[in-house]
Amino acid sequence: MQRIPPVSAHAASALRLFACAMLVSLIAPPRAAAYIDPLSGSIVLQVLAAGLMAASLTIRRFREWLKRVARSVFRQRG
Amino acid sequence: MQRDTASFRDPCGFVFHREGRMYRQVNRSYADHYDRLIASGLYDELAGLGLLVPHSEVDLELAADENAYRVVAPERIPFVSYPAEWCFSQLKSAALLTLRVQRNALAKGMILKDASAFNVQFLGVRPVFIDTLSFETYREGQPWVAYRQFCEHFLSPLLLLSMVDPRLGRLLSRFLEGIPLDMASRMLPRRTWLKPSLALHIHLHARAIERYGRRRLGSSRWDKAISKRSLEGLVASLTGLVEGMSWNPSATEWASYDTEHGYASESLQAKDRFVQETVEEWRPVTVWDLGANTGRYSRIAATAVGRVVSIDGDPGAVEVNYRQTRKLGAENILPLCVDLTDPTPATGWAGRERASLADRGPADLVFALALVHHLALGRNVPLGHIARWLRQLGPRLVVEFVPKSDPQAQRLLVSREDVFADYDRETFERRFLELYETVRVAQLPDSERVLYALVARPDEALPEM
Repeated sequence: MQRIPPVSAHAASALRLFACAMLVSLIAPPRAAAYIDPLSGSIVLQVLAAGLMAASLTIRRFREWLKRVARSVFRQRG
Repeated sequence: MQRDTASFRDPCGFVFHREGRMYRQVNRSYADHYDRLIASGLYDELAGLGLLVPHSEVDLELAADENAYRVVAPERIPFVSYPAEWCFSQLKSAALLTLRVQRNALAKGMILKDASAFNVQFLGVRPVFIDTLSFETYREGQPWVAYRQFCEHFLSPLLLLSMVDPRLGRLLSRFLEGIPLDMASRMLPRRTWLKPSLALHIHLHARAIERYGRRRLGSSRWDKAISKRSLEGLVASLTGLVEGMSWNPSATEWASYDTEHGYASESLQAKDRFVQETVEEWRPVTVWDLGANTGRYSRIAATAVGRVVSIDGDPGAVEVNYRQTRKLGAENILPLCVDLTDPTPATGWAGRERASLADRGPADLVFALALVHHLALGRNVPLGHIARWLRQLGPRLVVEFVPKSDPQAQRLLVSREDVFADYDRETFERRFLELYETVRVAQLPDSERVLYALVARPDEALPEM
């Protein structure tokens, strides 16, 4: 079996930086039209925060839906 | 034509003054957004609800330069105040107003492009959004570019005021761009990491900024990063966080002054009567009540005058004043928190962006009730200095002399050497009557306190400080 050559510490670090930059480049503004500086880090965090809010909202709605379903099932049996 | 010294950052327009009136120029670069603000009904909705300052469009010939698309004349704010001068509940009200405006804007397909606390002013106790040019057309998926600004202008100071020390509100007079998130993160108690919304909006936010800073990262997908529902969720999360903040001022020294002061009830009634009769006789448009404490005399004055700016240095007293005034529905009282031995200076760009307290005057009438002994005995300010400073703030004065023998003056001297040989009624009258003429004097019953209603000497120029 062919062995994968070990990655040096420098190369690993460069890879991490590249991956990080790629991730941020997907979501950070290149040319914000706003006259205030939103700062890339704030946009990154905002994407994360908004994702969490959306997930929490979805979970809450799913829970409410489950409750409604359970209630209607028990009502039919009763 | 003179451009407003505080209006230069946004290239979409600016405020200017012409022949004593204030106007806002809407530049051509903002035309599409302005048209949408009007056509979408967002302006009518916000102005109708009293959330946005109403304006009227005026002749384009009044424009300040050739870039004008529209010129509007906003309703004038009688007294401009700054976030560093607001108590906790005022800052909280301003934050909630900003979030409500943002929610309404999103519902109409627009978004706030900035979220500065300076975009809010108070009409009495009611906050109102004043920047008509803060709205831009929302594009599905775009992030809120003012998210960091909102956190630094509102969240950071509100948390520091409520969880660390209410006096930290004064930091806002030096940090005009808001309290930096990394600084707030370091100052807040460690337990705030355990609350998910605080961990997210403050601590992780600060670390994300530290980590990614100002990297310029090209992409064409950034503007699709956040769905509208997620953005509304973010605004709802911020709203819930702000609504849940509270601060109880009962622990501070002077907030309980109304129930612990040293007046006999007859004295108190005589003082109330003196103030009431003076304002009814003079009918001033503006009163500055300095050392207002919880606003007892501001409220008496407000029944007979146009508006009262009710100023005290104690955040607890101002908080109580604001809450009581709001409860009473008095629309013409503006409580503010200012240390009168270090009143708000002119700040910002070139020292001219934000006006000093004195530059926002003069008032028609100044109250200095139970104040002078605090300045003279508590902070070592000579009586002559106090008289000259009060004279610069307005031409009429209601002032109270509290002698050293008074229990409240004694409190100030109890732990220190009495180095105030000149502090007596005779010197007080000599210093003040150099600048003013006496209209009325009254000694309070069962007390050595004396009230004076004074008018500036007509032939005297404003004294040098």
